[in-house]
Amino acid sequence: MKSIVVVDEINKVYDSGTEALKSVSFDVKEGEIFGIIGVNGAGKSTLIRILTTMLRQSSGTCTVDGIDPSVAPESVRSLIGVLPQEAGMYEEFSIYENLKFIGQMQGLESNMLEDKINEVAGLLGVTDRLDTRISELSGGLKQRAMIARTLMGDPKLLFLDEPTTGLDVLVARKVRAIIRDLSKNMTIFLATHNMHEAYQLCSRVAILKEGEILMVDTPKQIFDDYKKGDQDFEDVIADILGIDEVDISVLEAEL
Amino acid sequence: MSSENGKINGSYIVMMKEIRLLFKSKRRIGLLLMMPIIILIGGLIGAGAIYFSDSTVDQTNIWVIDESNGDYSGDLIALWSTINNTNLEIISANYNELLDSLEFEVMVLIPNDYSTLVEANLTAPVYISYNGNETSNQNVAFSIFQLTEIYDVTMVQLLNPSVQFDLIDTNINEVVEGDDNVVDEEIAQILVIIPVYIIFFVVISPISLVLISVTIEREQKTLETLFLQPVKRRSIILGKILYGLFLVFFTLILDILAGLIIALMLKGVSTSQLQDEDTDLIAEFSKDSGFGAEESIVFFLGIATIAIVIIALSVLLSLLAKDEKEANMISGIIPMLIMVMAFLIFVIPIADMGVIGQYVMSAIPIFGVIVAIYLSTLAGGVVALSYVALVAQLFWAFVIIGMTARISEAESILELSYGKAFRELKNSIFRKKKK
Repeated sequence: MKSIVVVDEINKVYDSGTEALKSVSFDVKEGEIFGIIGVNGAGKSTLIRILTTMLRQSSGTCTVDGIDPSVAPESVRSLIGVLPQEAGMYEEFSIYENLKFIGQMQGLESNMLEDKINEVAGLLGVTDRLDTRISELSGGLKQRAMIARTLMGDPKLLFLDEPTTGLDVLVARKVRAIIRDLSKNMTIFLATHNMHEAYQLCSRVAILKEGEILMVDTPKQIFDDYKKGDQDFEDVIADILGIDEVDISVLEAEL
Repeated sequence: MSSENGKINGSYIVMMKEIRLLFKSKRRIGLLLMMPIIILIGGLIGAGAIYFSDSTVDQTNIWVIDESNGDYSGDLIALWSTINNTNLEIISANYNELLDSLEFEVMVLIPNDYSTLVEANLTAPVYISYNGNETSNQNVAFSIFQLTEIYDVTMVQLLNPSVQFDLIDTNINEVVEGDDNVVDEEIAQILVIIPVYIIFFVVISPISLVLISVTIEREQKTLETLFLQPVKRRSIILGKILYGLFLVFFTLILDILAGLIIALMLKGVSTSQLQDEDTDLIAEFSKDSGFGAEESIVFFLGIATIAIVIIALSVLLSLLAKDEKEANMISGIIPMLIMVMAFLIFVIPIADMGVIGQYVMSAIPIFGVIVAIYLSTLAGGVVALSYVALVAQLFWAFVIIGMTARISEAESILELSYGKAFRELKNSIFRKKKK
């Protein structure tokens, strides 16, 4: 299967001297849901920002569909959809107006724009709320609207950075179902600290700790290889990352 | 679907998005209407003041030097004394000495041979002089002239039908201080203040709105999404600048409308005398300052280039402002800078500088236009330096836009600081030199 993302020995050192990524290498196959697992501060968002042209690596190379993001950022941006970790929408605009603006920025012709808005709104189940202002939406609907926005440019590759963080259990389930549906038509790069989410959704996961990739494999293989006793996937990952369950719960409570 | 939007297209979409957002926020509309409302309130207060003070208009003193001993001049003087808002006084003084001293408002000389000439049915001269430094004096002088003509026709000619020509030859004379061809310092200073006022009224609201257009994106977490679109970042920056220029244009229209409303209100409350005075004021001002078509075009081009520089500067600073509080602080500082620049014109002896010094001054952003207006006014026409100032403003606008576009390419664009922006510019120049 063709690799849509290739990351080779990437390092990222911030001006402050913090080493966010250390010799990170992996590839993402076309059509898979690839997960990056790690606690907060592991370097997940830095990695996504490099691949989505928002940051430049200090050394190493990477390509998205064969294009170097640091060389042709606009070309890469035309291939991808991105839901950043801290994303927002224009609060004074309705969902429709937000989608229309992004569609125009993506270069959609006006005759195609309406069809595309209706299509993505239908996919995300927000058709009947298209005229509602963002400021009047619940958290779940806002998240669905934001995912709809990432689809306006027909992306080949979708980056989702913690897409279910802050959502209640039912809404998070709904969002996961949407991600699964979307993966039928595109590659998805999913950053998450939710181990169960990674296990349920991802074809393969990379475990990131303090800027280093510890392993890349299918969740099932990792689970089978490292499971001790009656541990669940979260316990297994906690062992690999060298943190106990209490630490994880503290981290999640902070979110 | 195109993979890369054109620069203008992306900029246009960003500009239209900002305009739509503008009209969806009551707060932003409030900011936009702030200056026209201030103008309207100021106008209302002014109109009210005129309305209530109409009856207590300052009186113009008419001094009459009657050397003819009043045999035939009494009726004439009585007629002149009926002119509104005047205080007529018959004085004994030397007409020519008073004329030289300019210490009068309106003065009439009835020569000693006046009565003799009228009696002999011969044309008798009357001399009216007025101090041209006050426009109300001119109106009074012309009223005296008109009343004298009426008196001549109705009283003298009717009573004496054999007289087929004017008995009274009325001479009117304007006396002004200084040489007509030399524009005084005062007018030059007034003209310097005008662009500063125009900038204040036209640019203050756009500065605030442009600054918060980026900080709101930062606070609503939409800036990253905006920069993630397949459009060059400089197109997005250009879109914000176009939005700023739209705001300047829109504010200008609103300010003009507010001005027209005030003009209509003034017309409604003021006397016709006041309207005449206003018209005369403009005519006098235009004449005295040598303000013609070329001067007007250069003047407004100067204002336009200043607006471009200020809006470009606002967009640059908006990328650096970390939140709305800082943006508001910056939007207060920029007008203060303009004020300081206007003040410098009174401090720096620009008129006494050498040509090179004046040209250097004219190349300074914003200040250059103020210098050009000042020197042009002193010279009584557009000086060559003005065109240098205009080109210099466009140059600075391009430099600022280029710097902003360069900074927008910084990888830390979402958390930009002054230090990071400086480093980005330094790296950019350094990289170019290496190439």
